[in-house]
Amino acid sequence: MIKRIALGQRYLVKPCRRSTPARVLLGAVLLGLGTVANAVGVAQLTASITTPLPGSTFDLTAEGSADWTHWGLGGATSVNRKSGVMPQIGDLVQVGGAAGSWTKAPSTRMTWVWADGTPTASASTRTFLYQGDNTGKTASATYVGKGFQFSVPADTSERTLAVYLGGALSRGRLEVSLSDSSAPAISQTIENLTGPYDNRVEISYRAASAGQTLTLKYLQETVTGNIILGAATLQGAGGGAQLLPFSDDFSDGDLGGWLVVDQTNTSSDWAVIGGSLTQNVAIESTQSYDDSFHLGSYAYLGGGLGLMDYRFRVDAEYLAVGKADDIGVLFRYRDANNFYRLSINSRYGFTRLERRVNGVYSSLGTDSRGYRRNEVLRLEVEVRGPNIIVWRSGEPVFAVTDDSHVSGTIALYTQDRARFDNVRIDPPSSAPVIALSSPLSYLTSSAHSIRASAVTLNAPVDATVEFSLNGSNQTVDPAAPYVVDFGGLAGGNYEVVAILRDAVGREIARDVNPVVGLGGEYFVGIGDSITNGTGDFFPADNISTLGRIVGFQGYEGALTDLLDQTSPTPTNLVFNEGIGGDTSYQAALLRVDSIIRRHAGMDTALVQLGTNDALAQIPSGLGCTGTSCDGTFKQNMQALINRLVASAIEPVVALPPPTFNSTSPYTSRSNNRIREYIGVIENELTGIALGPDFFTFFMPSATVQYQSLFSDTLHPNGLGYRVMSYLWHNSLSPGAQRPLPFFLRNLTLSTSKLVQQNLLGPGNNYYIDENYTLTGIPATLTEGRWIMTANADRNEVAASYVTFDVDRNADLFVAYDANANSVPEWLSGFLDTGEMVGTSNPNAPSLRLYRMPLYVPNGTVRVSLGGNSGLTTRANSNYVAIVVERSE
Amino acid sequence: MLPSSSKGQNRISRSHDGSRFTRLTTWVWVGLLLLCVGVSGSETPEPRDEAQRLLQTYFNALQTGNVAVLREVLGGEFGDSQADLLQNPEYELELVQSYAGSDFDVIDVQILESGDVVATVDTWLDASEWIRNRLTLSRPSASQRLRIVHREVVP
Repeated sequence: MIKRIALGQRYLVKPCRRSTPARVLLGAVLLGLGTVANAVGVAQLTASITTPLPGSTFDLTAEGSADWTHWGLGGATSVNRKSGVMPQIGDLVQVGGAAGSWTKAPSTRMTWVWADGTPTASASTRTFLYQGDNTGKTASATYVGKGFQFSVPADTSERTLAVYLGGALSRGRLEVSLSDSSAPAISQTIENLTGPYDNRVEISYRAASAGQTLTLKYLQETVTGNIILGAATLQGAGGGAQLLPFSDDFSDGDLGGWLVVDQTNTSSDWAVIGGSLTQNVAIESTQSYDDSFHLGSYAYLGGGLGLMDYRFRVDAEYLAVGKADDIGVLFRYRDANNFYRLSINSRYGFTRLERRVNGVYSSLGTDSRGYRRNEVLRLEVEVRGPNIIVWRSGEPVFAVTDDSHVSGTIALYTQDRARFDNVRIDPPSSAPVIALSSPLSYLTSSAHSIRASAVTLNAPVDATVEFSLNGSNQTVDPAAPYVVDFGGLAGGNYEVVAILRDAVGREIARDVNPVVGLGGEYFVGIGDSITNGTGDFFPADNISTLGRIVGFQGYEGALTDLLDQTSPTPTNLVFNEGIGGDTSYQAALLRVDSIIRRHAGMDTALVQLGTNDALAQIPSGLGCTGTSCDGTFKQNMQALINRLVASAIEPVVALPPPTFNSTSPYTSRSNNRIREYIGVIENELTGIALGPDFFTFFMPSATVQYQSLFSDTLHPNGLGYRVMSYLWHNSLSPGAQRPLPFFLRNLTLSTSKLVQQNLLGPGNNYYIDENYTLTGIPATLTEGRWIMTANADRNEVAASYVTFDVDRNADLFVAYDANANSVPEWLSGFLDTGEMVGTSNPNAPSLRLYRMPLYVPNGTVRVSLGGNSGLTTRANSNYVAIVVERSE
Repeated sequence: MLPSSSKGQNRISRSHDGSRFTRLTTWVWVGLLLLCVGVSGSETPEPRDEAQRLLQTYFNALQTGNVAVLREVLGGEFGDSQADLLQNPEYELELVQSYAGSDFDVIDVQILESGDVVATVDTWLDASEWIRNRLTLSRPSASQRLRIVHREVVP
């Protein structure tokens, strides 16, 4: 039969600011004591300590209406919790070292019973945790300061926390505080220096604002004896605490309970559409940054602010077809300035775990892998005390220990059109879990050693972790924290494995992190939208061969592969940190510090700036001294370089490309200013290595200019970025030069309209004046150089409409409207391949493909193609020419 | 659906020229604003007019190298980014040389619900060279005048 709680009467607990703490007389029912309330405004913090009658039993199920926890039943790391609710009593921190589990308590000590627990459904036990001496014979200074700590949520609702603790032959100090300090903290000693003592501490509390926590710490003060902790209960969660499990598949069409926060001056548009939560407008802009951290819009679950430990998952899909910006989730969201965030982006190519504390962002982890087009991301997070594990589509990507936020709700985050579905929040799992916290998959390092570490959840007593590299070098760490160092390793890519084993050595969980590079080089591209890759709509070369980079644009993926091809080991990585619109001022003074902190392993920075400075008429500072340098390109760039050098990072500075915002670009003011910047870079910046000369490449003379490799007046196109990757490579690897990729020279149109040569794929526009896209491309056109003309020229009859030079053997293809009655005379000498190019143009949905081989053993051949002659042939669209390099 | 309080904050009212508003709600608000002005006799400037005057002042200051005026009309991050330049003793001359003979064309003004104004402006440095900028105008506080707080190049 269960004995009901038999409490002694209450006695006074004084707050820490008061000078004379009451002494607790132990082992007897105390009389005549009361309660102290430390209250400021609506906040409240009171505690009463009672000594139960010997052998009292406490029913955790009955008392812990909101939550309860018992510690130690199955060993020192064993935790039993109330089932079916969102855990609110946070993970226990064993201060000063691991605690012991005491299973031999006599019947005079406290007994706890429950009938709604997990993983043990019901129990009656006197087992508790202890810190200090369990023999009653030894004294040690090491006992002092050991103890226990945990937190529970707090907001403006009143809650009651009951904690069962005590000790023997010792004195413990109890400290209780609210995270917002809205009520004075309590500090109180409890002692019995001659025998055992049990106490029930009942704390009533209420914070001044939402999203706060109450932290309880109980530490030993004596060199003798021990202190104990058995159980805790929580009542009156109030405040709309979310019961678990929670799920929302939005099938009811209702967004009730979700609240929206916009982080920029662009307003979002969240709605439930088609059974999913969607955000329907572009948020991202050049103003959506905080340092180098991104800002967007999110919808958070308002009822979950009191949540502490949980497992959360959602299906997320980025829908926008333009920029591939952020999508992700927030968790332990307390308010707009305090949360964790997982964000994934393919414009830059990253998956990042970040935190925001009191408005300040910082990085907890990053890799260079974004999402793929139409990929549905299963994002999953488990937060357990300070342990955070993040899964992306089933694979653990981050495992960190961080105690910045111990409670808070979840949110769905994006910077553009996106869809979320199947939100679910569960109590933490009870299954054993292991996740490598370092090294991360797909990263690289110039080092020749690895520090492998892992975070575990629900590890059984006496669990061990075995680490291995490429299936060998097995090394076991017998106790948490699980960390092993591997040294003297050869350069190359490693597969790091961590296996969680139980006390008898059976494997119960494992994590594998592949493609961990050693002896490589960790590059970061720093710059503006050109470093970021704006104008590159050909994603196929933005996923590096080994998978280190998954992005949609920029030179970084192709450069990573080139460096891998010419380095002793394929262990290079080029991150993309270019931010559109940035000038030298912004890069130097707003971005670089946070970029350096985000990339602790950065060896080399690939810096390219100047385009936006030139268009903003920022003086170069060429030859300046003193105050005449203030605010100039030179001053800003030197500030940027100095920050990098101070962090032992080598800056390699490229000469920026020209701009084509002029009908006379060779002599334009903008390009003359860029020439001054180049003078600064080449002659006046100190501490740099000189990078590639993009200016001369794209505009070598007054008569030869490669605007055809630009998607607009400022940004290269997909082929332009391909060329840039080679120019970067050849600058970084002077001993391993690679010939530039194939491109057409002297490409012109008789109509004097703009013309591009580009790499294209399905979904890309193929005219410069229409939004029609390619829907189907024969394999024979793989890696073809597409000549993008104006569809408005479809009736041109010139004998020489498009002209270009080819410097190698190639196949020239012409895709002509398949519904035309005939083809122009100049096309009659081509071979009809029978293949079709599909398009979204309803007037010409299929283009028939004709081929002409070009043999260019030496020098160059000038190719000239006639006009489309649409009026004669009844072709409804202009033809498209594609040149494919032929290797023979 | 979203709670009305949050959803109501998520709408942008755009106007692409001086006479055309795209949303009926915006018409209603403009009507109410005109009614209030008429009744009270207030001279509160219409945001677009205030923005146009600010932009004109800004471009005049660029052309004449008037850094004192630039200090007044710039704010926010953009103002911070220009602070060092505006104390550079050679910057006045640099501005005059850069913008001599230039022409400015405000081609679009959008008014956000937040009260911010976004203006798209073409700057013709000469007959052959142009730069398109998008400028964001914002008030440091509700009672203060608009300032230019952000500038970005539009390709």
